[in-house]
Amino acid sequence: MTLLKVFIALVVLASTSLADVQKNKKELTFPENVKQIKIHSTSMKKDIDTIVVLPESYEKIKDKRYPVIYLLHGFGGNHTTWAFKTKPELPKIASEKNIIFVCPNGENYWYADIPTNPEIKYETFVSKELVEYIDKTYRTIANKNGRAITGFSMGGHGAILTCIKHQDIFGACGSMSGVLDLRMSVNNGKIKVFGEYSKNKSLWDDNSVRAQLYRLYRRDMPAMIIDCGTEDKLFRTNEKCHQDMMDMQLPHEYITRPGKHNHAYWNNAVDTHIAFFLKHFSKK
Amino acid sequence: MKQIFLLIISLFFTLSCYAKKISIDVPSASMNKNLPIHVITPDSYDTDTNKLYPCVYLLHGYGGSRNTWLYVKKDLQEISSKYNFVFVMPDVAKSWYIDSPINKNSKYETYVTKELVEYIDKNFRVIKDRTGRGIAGISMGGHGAISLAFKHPETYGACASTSGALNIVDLVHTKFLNDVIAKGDVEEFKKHSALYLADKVEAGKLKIHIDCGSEDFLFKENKAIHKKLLQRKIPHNYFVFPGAHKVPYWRNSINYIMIFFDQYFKEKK
Repeated sequence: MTLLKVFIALVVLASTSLADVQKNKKELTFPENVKQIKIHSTSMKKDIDTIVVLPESYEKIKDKRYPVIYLLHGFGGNHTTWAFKTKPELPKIASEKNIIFVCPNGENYWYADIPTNPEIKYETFVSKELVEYIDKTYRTIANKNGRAITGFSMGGHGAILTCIKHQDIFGACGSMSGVLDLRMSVNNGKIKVFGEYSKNKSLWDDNSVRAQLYRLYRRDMPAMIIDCGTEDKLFRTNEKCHQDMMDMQLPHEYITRPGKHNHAYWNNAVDTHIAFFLKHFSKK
Repeated sequence: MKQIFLLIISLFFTLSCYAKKISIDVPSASMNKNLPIHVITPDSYDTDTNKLYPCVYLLHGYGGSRNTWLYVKKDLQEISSKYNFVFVMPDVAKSWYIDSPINKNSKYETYVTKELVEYIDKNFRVIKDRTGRGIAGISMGGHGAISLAFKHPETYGACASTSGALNIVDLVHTKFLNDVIAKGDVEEFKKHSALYLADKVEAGKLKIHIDCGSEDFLFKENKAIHKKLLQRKIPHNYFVFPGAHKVPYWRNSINYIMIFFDQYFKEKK
């Protein structure tokens, strides 16, 4: 009898701790000024999860407007990556510098619009639907002088490309270890969303930052910062993109430091990007 | 009487609690003369008497002096207090930080890396080894910072160059190193050129920062040393910002350099 009781006790104990583990996997502890919202995308007919980080002063000073920095995650990440993994210090920075951070879920679709797929309209979502929602819902500086976008890896590609294609929306952009030429990944088969390169050349070209630099004008450039670790596999691509921009006389800040393709590097790099954007926001 | 005494004491403390600029003449045995320097100490220096401070040597460019860095960066004293750095600014005339083989009165490499360092270590509460010693420079000073750090890795732990003249071999047929190295003496120029010294520097010992404006006439040299350091797998910072060989460029780049030193000294604490 006692043996049975012990057995039952052990089973109960095991199942509650299992439940705990499962609970911890799903539930994140949200700091006070970090909100998770759903934003409806008309173009994709679905809701997109987004994290918004508000500064402490937001609720206290009711007539103040804030600049917004859009942060894009990498491949395999989601809307929680930036605030809960890469840079948990975001709420502190938001409050210190009076910035709103917005982190949308871009899934694994390279922030692209795929013309033949109605479920993949992430370029439209980020540049139009997301920005409109944020400007309508929060007290933002609702023009390109108060709007910056940056990200790491796939997010670095997404940030620069979206800015280049929508220079009227974003006045400043950045890339941390960005995949700045998707066409260089054709042979490793990692990027599936555009289909085979030989059959979809224009789509690949259209979505490669290095192939879209012609859209920039040196006298009218968005403020741009490109940053990569020297031990990162994407370092050569970043050097090539920087060199192209130098040849085309497109002014930008270019930063290379010792480091690899990891969150420790991006945790550090984002501080420089934020400082760079603050300089941009304070220009009249 | 007691009140006046207290007033004087508090006045003394108030007056001594701000970043100070001290101007001194430092004797050089190798050149048999005294050379003027400025030293900047942070706010806390006079009151925190047990603390040893990291020290950054700030080197001027061609035609500059010990006043250059103060002119370029008007908030240098605030920066000293913000990071708790001691700054030392020597005057090296047009010597290119080299012990000249043709002019025995020009021994500025020995002066900067040995005599000045010994003087500062003896007279100021600074960290007396490379974990607390950095060197930075603008233009000719950038060449100075990198080449001296490469030549003396046991003296400096971190070095930074902004718009540095990082390959003086380019100047071999010009008048810029008159009285320092004989015109045309390519082999001697190579011995002191940062680009050539980069062939021998060991990976990981020194923390290195190099930045240059994309419109600067020295850009190619900076890019060249960056490429070389990459190929030799020597970790280093390399930043390119829009800008030319001008004060507004340095007013911005120096901010990044201070962050660079702060990160180094904190690592080594």
